[in-house]
Amino acid sequence: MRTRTYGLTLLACFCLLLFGLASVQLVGGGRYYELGLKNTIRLIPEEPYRGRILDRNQEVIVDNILSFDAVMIPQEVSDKDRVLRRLADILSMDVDEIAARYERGYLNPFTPVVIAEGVSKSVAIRLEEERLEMPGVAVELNSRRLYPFGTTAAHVIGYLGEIDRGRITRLKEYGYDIKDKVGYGGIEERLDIYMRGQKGGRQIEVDNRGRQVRLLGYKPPVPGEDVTLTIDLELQQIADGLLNGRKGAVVVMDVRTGEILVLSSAPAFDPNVFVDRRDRRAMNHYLTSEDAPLFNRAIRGQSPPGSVFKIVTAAAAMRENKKFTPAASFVCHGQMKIGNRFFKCWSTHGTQDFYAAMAHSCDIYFYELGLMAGPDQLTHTAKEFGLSEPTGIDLPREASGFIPSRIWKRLTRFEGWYDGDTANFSIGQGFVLTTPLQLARMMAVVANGGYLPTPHVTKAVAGREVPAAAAKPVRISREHLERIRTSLRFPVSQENGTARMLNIAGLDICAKTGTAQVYGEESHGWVAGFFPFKNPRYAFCVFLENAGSGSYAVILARDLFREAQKRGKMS
Amino acid sequence: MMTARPRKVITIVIFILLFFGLLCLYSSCHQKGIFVKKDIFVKQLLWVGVGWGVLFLASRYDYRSLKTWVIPLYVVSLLCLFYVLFSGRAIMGAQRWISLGEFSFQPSELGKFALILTLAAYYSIKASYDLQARPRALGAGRGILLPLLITLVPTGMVLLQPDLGTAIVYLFIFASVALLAEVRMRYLLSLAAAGLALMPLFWHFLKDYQKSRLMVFLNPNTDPLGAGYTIIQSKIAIGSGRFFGKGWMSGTQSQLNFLAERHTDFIFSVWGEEWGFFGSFVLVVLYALLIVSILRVAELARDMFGRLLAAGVAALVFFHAFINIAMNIGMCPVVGLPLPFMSYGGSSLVINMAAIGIVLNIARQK
Repeated sequence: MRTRTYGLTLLACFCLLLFGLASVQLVGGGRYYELGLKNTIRLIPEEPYRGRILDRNQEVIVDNILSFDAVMIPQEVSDKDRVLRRLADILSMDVDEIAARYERGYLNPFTPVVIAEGVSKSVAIRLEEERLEMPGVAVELNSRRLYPFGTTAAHVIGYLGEIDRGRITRLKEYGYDIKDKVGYGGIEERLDIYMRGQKGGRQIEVDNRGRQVRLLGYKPPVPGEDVTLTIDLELQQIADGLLNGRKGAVVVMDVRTGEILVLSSAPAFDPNVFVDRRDRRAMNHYLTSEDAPLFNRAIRGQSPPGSVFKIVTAAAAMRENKKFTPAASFVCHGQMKIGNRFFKCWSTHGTQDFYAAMAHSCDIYFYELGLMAGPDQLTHTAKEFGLSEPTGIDLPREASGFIPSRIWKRLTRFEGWYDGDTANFSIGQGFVLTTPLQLARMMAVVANGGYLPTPHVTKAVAGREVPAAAAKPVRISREHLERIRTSLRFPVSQENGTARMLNIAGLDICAKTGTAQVYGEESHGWVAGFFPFKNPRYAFCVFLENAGSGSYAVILARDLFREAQKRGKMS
Repeated sequence: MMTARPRKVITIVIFILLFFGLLCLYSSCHQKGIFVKKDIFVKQLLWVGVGWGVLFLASRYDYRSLKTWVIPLYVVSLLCLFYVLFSGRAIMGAQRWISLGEFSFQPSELGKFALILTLAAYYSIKASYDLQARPRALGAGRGILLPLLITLVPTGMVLLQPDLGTAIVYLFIFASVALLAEVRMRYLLSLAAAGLALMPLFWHFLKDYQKSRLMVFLNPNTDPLGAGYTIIQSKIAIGSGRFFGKGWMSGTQSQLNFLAERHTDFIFSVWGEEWGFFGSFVLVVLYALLIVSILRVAELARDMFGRLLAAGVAALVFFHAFINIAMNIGMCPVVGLPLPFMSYGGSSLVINMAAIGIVLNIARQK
């Protein structure tokens, strides 16, 4: 019974709609038709001031400057050809180029078309002076993104560019629109929503030729929020300088909080190129070069860690075999037979205990430990150290790295796991892949006594501290971690340790080197560690792509920390 | 007469609506004669195909077996809503989408469907000695408070997104299903009275932009750049269609870039401009026909579950169509509900098609 009544009510609502439609389309139709012919209401948006990016000491890394833009307002241009020629003269540009920009940028009669961005003050003055002779030309004062330090910290910062299609569809719900400027990569992308502010604008009424008649409403733009990073600009500059001309990455982080002080990747790019858009060659180079300058090697580059991985092997062996002590010795003859293959050490070390093996990075010793632990324990322990998962850093598109397991090999290679695989696994070769950031975090776990911190580069947004995610305890006993921590001093302190060059007075660095063989190319060089030995504060990782050996990474780390110490940064 | 064969009528009406929708979308994807948003049109074409497939499958699946899916579906829809609420936290407050590669999926759409199913199943629980469920005999607790709770959980979650439109849809579905389940009238009336009394309190929970949208509805000039602008532009577009409209592909207002959301929530403005009052009239009549037919199916259904299911679907389609058209012509605030079968968007289309498929099945099994 109620169904009938309900249905009738709904029909009544539809009748109401029809009345509404009739009143808009039939009664008001004529008036709206007139309005529509002219479409007299226009919106002219006004861009807000984008939030700046500061380093941990409130030094401005990314700023905005006021730039003079030469624009043409279509509705006011009377003699287009003459104006174009005159403009070409003043701006010393090609007439065709100006005409092309005008065509490309034309939206409607009243929106100014930008012809040249960031013209010099003298040009701006000349344009203003000759304004009467060139009706339709004006100088606009716009705020423009400026990266005063060029390539410094480029991968942390990212760059600003015009929004692409994919992002519009994804972000439309949040008020993004065509022609908006949005961040690409780094903090510019990650915290775009905070920094962008809110657009304002004028609503104007125009006449039938599209010329403004009067101002109907004005909404001032709301400026975006400033962002403070955990990055130390001075250290970052030193690291960037040392990496210049090579391929690789440097990460320095606080072992307790996960704050990132340095995150450097090379080759780097200059974000200004994307804002300016005049240097097409540089842009093309960045986008297409084989060296991938836009690629953040520190968080996205995945390579085998080589001997740095021996830390995992040691921890796995201790977890598996409770009787293992650092005094346990194996003899290194330069090679050993595993299965039916000979596995080599990079030298012949003779009898080695745990500390000596760490100091010399003896492969034989760690083959033995790896076999003692077995592949399952190696896999588990590597995962405890946060490998094979993204660290959760607040930068976009982090890679997860890879840790093999027996079941993975069975499912993807249709092969069983051999002892040879275990041997490769235990020296960080074969299938293992890690990012420089993951290795720095692994060192932080060893240094801080067993907590996985979440690395982050954002310290505060709009002056409010961003709370760091809680560090996760790892399931590796403190005693084992303490042994590993102690052992990591030996590569630096021993006379013939592999990281001897890092023996800088006053810093007490602990570190492990790695030389990862890559098939058909030069080996990658690694060094990762932490300091000071007592009460560690910083963890670091240096990665050099195809450098040939870990010792090049050690040299870079030495130069970095020496310079930092000289400037009083590491006390 | 026309409602004697609801299955045929429903299928034909849906076919026409989808066809109109594609016509309209095709036109709105053009700007000054150039096909600027081809990808949107192609995607929608794909979704219409998928939609028919879903409709066909749903119409072949005995709706009574859906009862076993009720609890899992309800839980899954809550989990999805919960997920979007928290996954987006780190970026910017909250989000409404779950991304699946190229496509994204809106859990609040699934929620509508799950809610109809859950409420229908709830009211059709019957005592063993009864032949049919009799919600009329239920007391206040089981008759109205418990189903209200079932509704309020997802409603609260979409409110937090914040998506006011969908939250109201959920409440409307609840009201409709409870009404047609013949729950005692005095319970319904007291609930409505309580709701009205709590209205001022509710106002405080609204986000600023939602408040401003409501204020703009009262006076479009308060926000000339935001929602007010959209209403004015949409009214100009629809009004300038006059009686016969400007003809397909000739809508100047909606094809120019004046309306940002013209594929989705404001697709009707394109329709109204190009086909005029004549077209709008036809469209409203089609929706009315569709809803009357679905209600007819509800009336003829052989059990309470089928009846309430169909009623819920009718409520869903009605509310979307009514509110969407009303907001396009400035008769109600802009709340962001799509026009069923016409607006661009895969989630809502597929869910609607599935719902219609179920109605067809109910009609088959009488």
